Amino acid sequence: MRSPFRPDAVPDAAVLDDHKPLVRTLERRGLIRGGLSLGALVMLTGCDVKRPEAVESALLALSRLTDDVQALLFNPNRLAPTYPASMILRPPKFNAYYDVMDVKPVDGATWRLDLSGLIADKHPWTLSQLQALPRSSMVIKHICVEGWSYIGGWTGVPLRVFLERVGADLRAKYVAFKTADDYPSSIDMATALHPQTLLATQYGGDPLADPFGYPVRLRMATKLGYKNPKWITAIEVTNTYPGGYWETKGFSWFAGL
Amino acid sequence: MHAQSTTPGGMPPPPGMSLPASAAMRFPQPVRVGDLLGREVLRPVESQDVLGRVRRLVRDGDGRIMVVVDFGGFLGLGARPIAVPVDAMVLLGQDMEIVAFTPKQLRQFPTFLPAGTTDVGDDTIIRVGLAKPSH
Repeated sequence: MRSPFRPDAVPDAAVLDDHKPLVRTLERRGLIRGGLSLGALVMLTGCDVKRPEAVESALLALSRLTDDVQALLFNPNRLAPTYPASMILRPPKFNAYYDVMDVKPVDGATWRLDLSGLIADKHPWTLSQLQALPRSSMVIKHICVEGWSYIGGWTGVPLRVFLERVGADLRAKYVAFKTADDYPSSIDMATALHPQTLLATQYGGDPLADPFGYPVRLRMATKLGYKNPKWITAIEVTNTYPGGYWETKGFSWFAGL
Repeated sequence: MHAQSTTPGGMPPPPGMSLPASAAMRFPQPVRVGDLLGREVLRPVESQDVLGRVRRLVRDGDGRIMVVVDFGGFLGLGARPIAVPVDAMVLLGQDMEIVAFTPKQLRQFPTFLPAGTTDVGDDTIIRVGLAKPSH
């Protein structure tokens, strides 16, 4: 029997082939990609699957919806699991969008943290100034979107403490980061203010080693690994969506755990 | 602007480069020898085949640190110990990888005999290079 939901004008099956490059650029796990059928596309886009922009905007809208739902579900006071210090993996696991041999160490003596956007005091910070702020430690699981994880011990200035100190507008939507390895990133303000979000300067009680982001990196217990930029050189507080390295390639922006 | 490196993780040393020189390029990090024992040893390819497990670390007659790996076999049966220079290996989180030798080369390694070697104590801190995951 013919389905009552079947549209009168059925699109040409070739549209799926037309959009193959776009679907491939999503770089997602096979689940979503594999689930993309002609019918799903039609439902997503309100039938206008012949226009590539319509498909792209529909997929991006779905991704934004996922971000919004995750932001709604995020409880700013709920803590992620922590572990005993004896479980810390030493050294931690290295990962980047390039191999370790391409790491460019940062000189902590000349390093400056630049500030911009909705921040009252935009003076750049030196490492010793940053290290003079109150610190906090946490032993948390690093969970990578690729499927692996390890337990790490991080010490640093809570991002909330830093943002309050520089007079950031805590009602702004986003906190964005620039890094020495060209890995822009950004997070929501609720997560920036979460107690398990640190500007980490130490691992396992020792200063961060070069491959892990010396002198300063972000460590959050509530987001996937790729949301934690290393070798941070600048922080911006903004209401304009800043995106990020993997996010522009189709990865989820909120990426909560 | 974001020049994505085409170099996958765990590449072999460049031709002609010594193992210590190539290990030095991989940002060697301090690790406790006792923490390496029992670790899985992987092949640096996308399928991350398990080549064996770390049994112990020894110094050979020349003072080089060697990782004795229970190599090959199937489901733990039929493995034999071989000694792989630590500079031919990298740390990959909780695992290790052999980056300087192929499985074919490793099959030609002689079975490890402890004569002339000394055990490296569990609490000794050595430095081992890193690699990004190969998957």
